[in-house]
Amino acid sequence: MRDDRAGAATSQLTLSILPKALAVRQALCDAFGQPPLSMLDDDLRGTAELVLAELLNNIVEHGRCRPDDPIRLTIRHSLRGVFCTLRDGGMPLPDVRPPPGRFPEKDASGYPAEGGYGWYLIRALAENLTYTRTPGENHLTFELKSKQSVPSGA
Amino acid sequence: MNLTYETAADLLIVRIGDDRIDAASAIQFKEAMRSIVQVPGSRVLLDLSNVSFLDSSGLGAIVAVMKMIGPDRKLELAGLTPTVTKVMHLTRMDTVLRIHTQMPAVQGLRHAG
Repeated sequence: MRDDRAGAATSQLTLSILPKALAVRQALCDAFGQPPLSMLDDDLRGTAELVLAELLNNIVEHGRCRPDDPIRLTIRHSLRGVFCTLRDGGMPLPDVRPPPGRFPEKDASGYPAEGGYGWYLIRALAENLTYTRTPGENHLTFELKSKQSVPSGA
Repeated sequence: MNLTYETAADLLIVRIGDDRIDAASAIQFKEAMRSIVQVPGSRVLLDLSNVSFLDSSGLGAIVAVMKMIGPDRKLELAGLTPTVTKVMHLTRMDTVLRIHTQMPAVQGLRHAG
């Protein structure tokens, strides 16, 4: 659901997403067709879609948000990629801080874990992650940077 | 979730028709696989060439399929797109699952679904 049609001109996109898995999917599909996400190289697009999906789905699954209280996502162009801001009115993160994202242990039969990879992937891919809890709101910021080298510009 | 399957000798090939296995479809994928893997075959190969996006929920569903088919049947993957390859590598699934860089050539492929 796009609520900032001027976003393309300023390379900033603001999205308002209802806390449901299908709404998250639809929002991601729409967002990646628009700047600044549509301007990223393929590798960073993949990274960005994964990190955004993990964070949004965590809010949907664990945040216990009011069904009519949208998650607000802002994405703007940065020097090496995009800078993202995510706000939601759900429960605070456990211990009021972003989870460390440890790699999930194998189960007793030696199979890989079926879950617990979300924050591991977020931590592996997002940079400069900050989290602030204010009364009734979670506020996360992070940057996603291209692994491709930028021209020296000398 | 759109899944089709074919069998060839000991191989059961399941082709995912959807372009995403994500939080909105992981449960459907797992349930559809539960009935397909009743078809005999000592190896199960997932053809992911249509899947451009897979998140941790989709990954969990693939691990669930690995457990579902039991220790005597091997789960293999083929047709990984770059984003899916990245997820498999970061989560070390590429050390647990056999990942084909190309679809294996199979003689006498028989459509069964």
